[in-house]
Amino acid sequence: MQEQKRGLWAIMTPVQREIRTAIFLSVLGGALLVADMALLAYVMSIPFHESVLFLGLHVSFWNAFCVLGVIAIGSFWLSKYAFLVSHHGAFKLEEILRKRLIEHLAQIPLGHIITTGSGALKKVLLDDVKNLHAFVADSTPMIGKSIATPIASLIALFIIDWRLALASIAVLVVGGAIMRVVMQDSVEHRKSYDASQEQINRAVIEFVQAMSVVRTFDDGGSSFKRYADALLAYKECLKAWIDETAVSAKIGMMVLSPMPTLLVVGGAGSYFIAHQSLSFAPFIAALLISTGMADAMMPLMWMSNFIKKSQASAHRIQEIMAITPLSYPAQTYIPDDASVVFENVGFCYEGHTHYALKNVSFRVPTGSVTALIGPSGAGKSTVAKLIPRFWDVNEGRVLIGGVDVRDMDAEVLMAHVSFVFQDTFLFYDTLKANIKIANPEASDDAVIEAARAAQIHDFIMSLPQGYDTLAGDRGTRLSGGQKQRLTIARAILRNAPIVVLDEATAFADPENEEEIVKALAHLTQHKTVIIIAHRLSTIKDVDQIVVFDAGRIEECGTHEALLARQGLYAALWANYEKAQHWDLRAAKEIA
Amino acid sequence: MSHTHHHYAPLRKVFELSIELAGDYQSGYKRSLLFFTSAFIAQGIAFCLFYPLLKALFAPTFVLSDVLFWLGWMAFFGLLFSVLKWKGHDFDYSGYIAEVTHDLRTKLGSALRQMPQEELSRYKTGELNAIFSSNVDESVIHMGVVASLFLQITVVPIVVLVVSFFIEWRLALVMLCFIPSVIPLYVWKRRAGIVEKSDFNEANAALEAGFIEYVQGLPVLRAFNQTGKNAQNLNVEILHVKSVQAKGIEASTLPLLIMGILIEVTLLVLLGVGSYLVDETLLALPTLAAMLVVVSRLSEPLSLFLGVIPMFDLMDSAFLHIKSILNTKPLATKEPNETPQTFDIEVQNIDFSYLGESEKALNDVSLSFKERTLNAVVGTSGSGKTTLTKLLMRYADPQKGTIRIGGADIRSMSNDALMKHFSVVFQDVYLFDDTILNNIRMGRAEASDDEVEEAAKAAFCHEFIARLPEGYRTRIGDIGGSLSGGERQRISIARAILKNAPIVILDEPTAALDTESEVAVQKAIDALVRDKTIIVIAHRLSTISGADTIYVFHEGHLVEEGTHESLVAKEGKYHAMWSAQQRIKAWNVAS
Repeated sequence: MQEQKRGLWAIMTPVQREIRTAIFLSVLGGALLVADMALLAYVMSIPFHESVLFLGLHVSFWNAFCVLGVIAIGSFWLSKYAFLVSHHGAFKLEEILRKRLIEHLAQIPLGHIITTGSGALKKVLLDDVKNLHAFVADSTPMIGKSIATPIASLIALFIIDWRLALASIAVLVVGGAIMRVVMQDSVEHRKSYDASQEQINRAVIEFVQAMSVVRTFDDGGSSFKRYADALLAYKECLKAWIDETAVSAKIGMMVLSPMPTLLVVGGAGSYFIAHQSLSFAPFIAALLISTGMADAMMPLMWMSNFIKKSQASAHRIQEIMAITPLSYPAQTYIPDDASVVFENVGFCYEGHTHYALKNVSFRVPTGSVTALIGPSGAGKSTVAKLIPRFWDVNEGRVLIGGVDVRDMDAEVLMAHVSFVFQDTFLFYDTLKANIKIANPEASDDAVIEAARAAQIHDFIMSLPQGYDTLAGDRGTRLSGGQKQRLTIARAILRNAPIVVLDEATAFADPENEEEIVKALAHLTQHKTVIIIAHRLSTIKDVDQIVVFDAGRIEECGTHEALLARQGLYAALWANYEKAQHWDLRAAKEIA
Repeated sequence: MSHTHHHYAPLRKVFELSIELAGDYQSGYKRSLLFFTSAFIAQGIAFCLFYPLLKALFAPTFVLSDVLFWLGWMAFFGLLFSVLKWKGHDFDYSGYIAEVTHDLRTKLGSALRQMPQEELSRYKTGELNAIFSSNVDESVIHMGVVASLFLQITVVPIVVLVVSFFIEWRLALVMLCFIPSVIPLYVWKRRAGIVEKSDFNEANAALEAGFIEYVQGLPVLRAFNQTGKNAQNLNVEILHVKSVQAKGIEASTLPLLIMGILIEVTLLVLLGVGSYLVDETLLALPTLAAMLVVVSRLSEPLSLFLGVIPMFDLMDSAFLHIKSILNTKPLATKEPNETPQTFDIEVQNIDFSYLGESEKALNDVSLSFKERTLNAVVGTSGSGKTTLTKLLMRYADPQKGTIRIGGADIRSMSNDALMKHFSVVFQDVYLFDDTILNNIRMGRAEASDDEVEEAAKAAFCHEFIARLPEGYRTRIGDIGGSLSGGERQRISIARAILKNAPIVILDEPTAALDTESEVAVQKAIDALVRDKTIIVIAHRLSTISGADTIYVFHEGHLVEEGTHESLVAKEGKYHAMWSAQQRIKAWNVAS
C-alpha cells in the first residue's frame, strides 16, 4: 500500500501548474495596480502643457497619463487571465478527480460501496468535488491579490518615503499586538464551541429524523423537549464564545479599517510637510496606497471559512481514494466445476474488532442446494457476500470449482456466480438492453425466453412500447416485484452455474410472491444454489442446511438430521412453527 | 423540494429578509443598523475632510493652526466612526446573534412539529438537516456583517458624492457617471450567473443521475467490464459538466473584473478631467489630489463586496428555505373543540389524493371500526390501506368526507388530543440516543420508573434490558448496533403499552424480523392489543383470519368487507389472495 499524501494541497497536484500560474498572474496584476495608484500622484503634479525629465526622457502629462492607462489595462488583463487560468484549472481538476473516483470505485470491494451507499458517494463525487472547484477557481486569484497588494504597497511606500512606510507599519503592529493580548486562551473556547456545535448538529439530526416517526406516536412533544434542551445549551455556549472573542474581533476590524492608517499617515505627513521634508506628490502617493496592507487582510479573513470547507471535502475524497482496491491475479484460473467450498474462513468487517465469521468451513457440491440460516447477525449474509467478492476473506479461502475466488479475474468470477438480489438495479435504457446486459451476444429470442421464464414477459408486452420501454429512475416506474423479475430474467440469461440468493429480499414484495416463486424455480434449475433463508418451510427439502450462530457454524445437515439433533435448528424450527400460528384474535381473546 | 428557483437576490431583499428573521430582536438589529449608518456617515465626512486639510497643507502660506484644526476634526470623525461602528457590532458581538439563532431554531422546531405530515414527508431528511443547522448558521451569523457592508457601500459613496458636489461639481458629475455603475454591473453578473447556473444545473443533474446509476449498477457493470474509462455515458456527462462551465465563464467573470478595476478607472478619468480644470485655473491642485484620495477610499468596500457576493447567494437560499418551513400552515383545528365519547371510528365518504397527484388514493371510502374490535385492512400496495390509517391520525385532511372518533370530527381535536388516542407499531423503529428508560418513558412523560419497568416486562424486553451492563440506564447510542431488530421493536411496543392509548394501529410490525425475534415480538403485541380498538395492516393473512372484520382495498376502493369465512366463501379478491398464499406455503427451493 502506498502512503498517500493527504490534505488540500496534495489533492490539487494535478492542477498545480494552473494554480501557480494564476497566483503569479494575479500577483503581477495586483502589483501593477499599486504602481498605478502610486504614480497617479506624480502624474498629477506634471504641469499640463509642459514635460518633465524622467530617466532622460521628456515626458508630457498626456504621455504619462497614457502610461497610467496602459498599466491599468495591463493589470486588468492580468487579473482576467489569472481568473481564466484558475477556472480552467478548476474544471480540469473536477474532471480528473471524478474520473479517478469512478475508476477507483470500480476496483474497491463492492461491500464498501454498498455500506457507504450511493447517496453518500454521490455527495463526494458531486458536492465535494464542486467545493474544490470553487476553491481553485475563486481563491487562487484572491490569494494572489492578497499577497501582492500589501507587499507591493509596502515596497512602494519605502521607495516614496521610508518614514511614512514605518508609520503605516506601526499602525498594524500596534493593532496586532493589542489583538494578541486580548485574544489569549481562545483555543480553549474554540474547542468547547466546536464541541457544542457538534452537539447541536446531532440534536438537529435527531429531531428532524425522528419527526416523521415520532409524530405518529405523539404530537412531537417528547422529542421537541430534547431538541429545545440542546438549543438552550448551545445558546449559552455560543454566548460565552462570543463574549470571549468580541473585543479582539472588534479591535481587529477597527485596525483593519483604513481610518487609523490614514490618520497616522496624514498626521505624520502634515508634520513632515510643515518641516519641509516632504513634498506634494510623495505625500499624496502615500495617502493613496498606505491602506493597501490593511485592505488586503479582510478578504483573507473571509477565506478562512472557505478553506476549512474545502479541506473537509478534500479529506472525504482522499478517504475514498485510500480504500485498497481488490487485487486481481496476473493470470486467471478457470474453475473446474460449479462447487463452492469455504475453507477455514475468517472475516472481520473493517473497523470492527470482533470477527463476523470465524473458522467457517463447508462444501456445496455442484448442482446441490444449500440453505444458510441462523439468527440475524449470525453471519449468513456475510458468507453469501464473500462468494462474489463483495469483501475478501481475512483468513482461509473461498473456492469455486477448486479455484480461489481471488485467483480469477472479475469476468470469470461473475460468469460463474449470479448474486440475484443485490442488483435489482435497472439502467436508464430499454428493458431489452437491461436484460441483455447479462449477455450482449444473446439473440432477441433468447431475451424473450428469459423474460418468459422470469414471469415478466406478459407484463412487458402489456406496455405500449414493449421491450423498447425505457426503464430506470428516469424511465418507466416499475414496482419492486417487477424489477426483481427483470433482474431474475437477467440472471437466467446470464446462466451462471452458481446462484446465490437472499430470500428476504426476494420476498420483499408479498404481492408478487407467486410470480417470483415461479421465476426462481426457472433460475435455479440444474444450478448450484446457495440461499439465505428466513422462512424455514421453503428450505425443508434442501440438500444441506448450514446453521450459523455468532459467526460460527453451529450445525450442518438435512432437515431431518438436524431436527433429530435437538440443537439450535430444532429450536428455530419450533419457534417458526409457533410464529406461523400467531393469531391476533387469540391475543384479544385471552383478555 | 426543488432548488431551481432561477432568480437572483437583490441585495435589498436579503437585507429585508434579515430584518424579518431578526424576529423579536428586530429592534436590536435596527439599532445596530442605525449605528452603522451613522458610523459610515462619520467615515464619509472624515474622508471628505481631506479637501480642507490638503488645501491648508498646500496653501500659499502655510498656517499650522489651520492644518491642525482640520487634522483634529478628521481624528474626531475617525474616532466617532470607530465608536459608532463598535456599537453597531453589538448585534453580532453581544449575544444577539445567539438569541436570534436560538429563536429561529425554536420557531423552526415548532413549525416542523405542526407541519402536516404530508408536507413533512415531501422533505428529505438531509434537506431538513441542512435547513435547521447550516442554513440557520449561514443566514444569522452573517446578518450583522452583511448589513454593515451593505450600508458601507451605499452610505459612504453618497456622503462623498454630496460633499464633492459642493467642492467641485464638474468632477462630482464625473464620479456620478462611474460609481453608480456598480449596480448594473452587479445585476449583469447575477443575470449571467443565472443563465450559466440553469445550464449547469441541468448538466449537473444528468451527472448525478448517471453517477447514481453507475454506483448502483456497479455489481453488474463490473461483471461486464464497463467500469472506469469504459463507462461511456458517465464519462460523457463528466465532460459535459466541464464544457458547460467553460462556456459560461467569460460572461460571468467579466463584470466582476470590471468592478474590480472600476475605482481605478474613475481615478484616471478624474485625473484627466481634473488636470484640464487645474490648467484652466478652475480648480486647485490640492483639491484634485484630495478628491483622488477620497475616491480611492471607495475601492475598499467595493472589493470587500465582491468577496461577499457568494455569501449573498448562500444567505438568500438559506432564507428561502427557512421561510418555506416557517410559512407552512399547520392543519387547522375546527372550533369548537370536540371530545370523543367512545372509541368507535367512523369513516364517511372519504376521497383523498396526495399533493400533486391527480389520481385518488382513496375513493369514496366509508367504514366503521367499532370500539374494542379487531379490524384488518388488506390489499396490494397502492390499494389505499396505509393511506387510510394515515388519515385517521390526520396525516393530511381528505378532500371530501369526514372521519369521526366517538362522534367527534378529528378536525375539531387539537393535535395533542388526537394523538393521545393512538399507539402505532411500525416495521421501522426510531430510538433516541438516550437511556432505554427515557426511550420507553416517551410513551407517557409522567410515568414512574416502576411503571416503565412494568411496561417493559409486558413487552418482553425486561429480560434483555436487565442483561445490559447498565440496565435501564444504558444509552441506546452506546449499544446501538448490538440491539437486534426484534429487541428494538419490543422497546417500541413497551413505549406503546405505557402510553395505553385506546386505539392501536399495527403496520406489518413483524414483517422485517427473523423467525427468532418474531415470536417474542408477537408476544409483546399480544400484551398491547388487549381491550383496545385494533387496526392491523397485514400481508400474511393467516395472522388476521380471526379478525372481527377484514376490509379489502383495491385501487383506492373498499371492495370487500366481512369475516374471513364470509370473504373466502365469496370467492372474490380476498379469496384470490388467500389461495395464492396457501400455494406459496407449499413451495420450497429444492422442488
